Amino acid sequence: MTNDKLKKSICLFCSLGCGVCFRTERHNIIAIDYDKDNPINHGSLCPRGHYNIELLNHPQRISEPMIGPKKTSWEEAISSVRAKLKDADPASVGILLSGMASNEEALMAAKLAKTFGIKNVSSAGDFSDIEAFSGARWEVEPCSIAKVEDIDSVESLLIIGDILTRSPILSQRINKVKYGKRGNKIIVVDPNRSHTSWFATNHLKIKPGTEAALLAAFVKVISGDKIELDLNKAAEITGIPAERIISAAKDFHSLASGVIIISPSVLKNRNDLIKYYSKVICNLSPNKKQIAFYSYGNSLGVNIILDQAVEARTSYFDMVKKISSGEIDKLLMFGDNVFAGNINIEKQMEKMALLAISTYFRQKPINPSQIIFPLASHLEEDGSFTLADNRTEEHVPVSLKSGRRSNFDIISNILNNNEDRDKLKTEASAMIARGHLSVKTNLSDKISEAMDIAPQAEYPPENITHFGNNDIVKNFFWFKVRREA
Amino acid sequence: MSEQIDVRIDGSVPREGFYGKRVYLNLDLCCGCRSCAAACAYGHHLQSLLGHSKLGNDAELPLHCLHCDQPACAAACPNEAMQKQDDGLVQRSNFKCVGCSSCAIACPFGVIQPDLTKHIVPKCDLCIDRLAEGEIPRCVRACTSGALSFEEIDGQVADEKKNLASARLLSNYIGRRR
Repeated sequence: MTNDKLKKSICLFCSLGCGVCFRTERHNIIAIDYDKDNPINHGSLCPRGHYNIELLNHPQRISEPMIGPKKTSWEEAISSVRAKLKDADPASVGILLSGMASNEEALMAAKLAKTFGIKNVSSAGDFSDIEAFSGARWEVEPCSIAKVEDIDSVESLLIIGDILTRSPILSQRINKVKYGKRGNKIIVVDPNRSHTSWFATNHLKIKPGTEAALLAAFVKVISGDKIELDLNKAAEITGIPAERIISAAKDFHSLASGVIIISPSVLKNRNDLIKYYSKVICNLSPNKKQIAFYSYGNSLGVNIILDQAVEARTSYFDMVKKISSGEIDKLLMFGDNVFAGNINIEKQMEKMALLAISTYFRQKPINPSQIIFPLASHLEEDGSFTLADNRTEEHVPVSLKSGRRSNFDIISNILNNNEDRDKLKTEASAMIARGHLSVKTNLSDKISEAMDIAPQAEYPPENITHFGNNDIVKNFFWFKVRREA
Repeated sequence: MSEQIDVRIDGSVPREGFYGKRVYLNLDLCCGCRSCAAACAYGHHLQSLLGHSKLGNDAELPLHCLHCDQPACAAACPNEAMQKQDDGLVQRSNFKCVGCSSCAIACPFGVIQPDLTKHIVPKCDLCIDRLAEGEIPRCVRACTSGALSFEEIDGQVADEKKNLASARLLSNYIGRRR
């Protein structure tokens, strides 16, 4: 197969952003291939990376808009959303944007919100993604984000959670640390004997959900006891003896270079504190960096842009509260129904005056007048994505939209204007360069919060076939196979 | 066509057109993500030809067909679906296979898993379509950790370390490496 028949793109099923490649035949995508030249994954691909080909060619993908149970035209679907938005009270409208949307789409969503005066705008990535992002906002200076390539050459790794289930591609880099130099340390903090802990030189098997308390103890040890914290209490909460915490923290602190890898997950308590403490540790310890791998590819980019473009926007958590109390009764969900399976919210959705979802697959009928837009995936639309290590990847479509429209098109149709894409692109990249908002915080206050964490019940290991809290994976072959196994 | 080897370690010369390479696993590196099986499935009409095994809580490993010199699976097949080819590969014919799972019982390494979702027994074909393009098999290309490698048979036999039980597993017990 010659190279000109290969089309390259990136995978957004986690925020590592691996390269994927597709084989084409007469403009049709026929098979998945491996992008050997990509510096991130060197041609490897995890099981979720293989979903990309299914997303493009899935037989059950919808291609026509629907109002209720009936198929309809694009014009009708768009104008009915526009009509309902015009009369609505802005406080009763909510906009949720998937973590797989591009930076330009996030900017368009912000423009939609501005036009109608809506403040309830949020990224609808995983709950934990947003929680960890709010921790990233708390200011610690200076503190640097690691590049993915940095992981190869460090001497110590502090891994919070089962990162090899989130992003298995990192195993090639973790192996380089593990088998690279004598004396390299890999400290894994995970309540389960997980795939990541196989590679640990020191596995801290904490009580479930107490990661933040352990990291607070790390901060105390590394700061040289400048912070008030009872190590014995931390030991009691986490279930790790104080001596082991001290020796692990000193190991990490003493080695010449290190990276803290975090995988935010709903199974952890206080992802925001975990992210914040990791920044503090990097600040206190020389030559250390941190990186968080979110479950959705562009969680970071969407959050940064929405933060800057919509002032004083409602947080995701407040939005969920407002939705479940019925205060928000008009909801636009761009990407996927993130509340699928949430019985309380589905009850509220039944009563909503407007429920519009842009998605890939057929949805079960929730609301009698729900509007479904068939969504073109990120592989069928150009855009830029900001990944875990703050690098921004531009990418071009590999396939035609064939009747579907991207979130970008849908929002500009609702607004009834044709934005200049190049202008939006420069605007979005300027926002990304400015980075997220920073909020001043007091370290000792935040440290004391960690002591309130109570261990939760044991949880099963994370599932490699799943990402985030979405429903779309259930349509993919490999998800079904592994669930049956 | 894959690169051919000239002379084996014991001095014998392989036949012309012989695929001198096989898939090897370095269990020290394997993270048990099953990318290899997923890649196999997406490359073979959504049926994975790779078996998997779990070693307690400490490792998960793919079970690759060794393409034996005297394959027990071929001997056991009642319909001659499983055959040793001239190029050294043991191939199964989709049309002849009746799904009786005799080969799965006969295989001494347990690499043939009688998963009969498509009424045929899945059997590794070493991705001959990719070999013909000069590529390596899908499982090796997709491997996230670099645990799988596609190497000359004799080169691997010489490197005995790689054929030993995993040092990663042993390092958890006595003889810890670091």
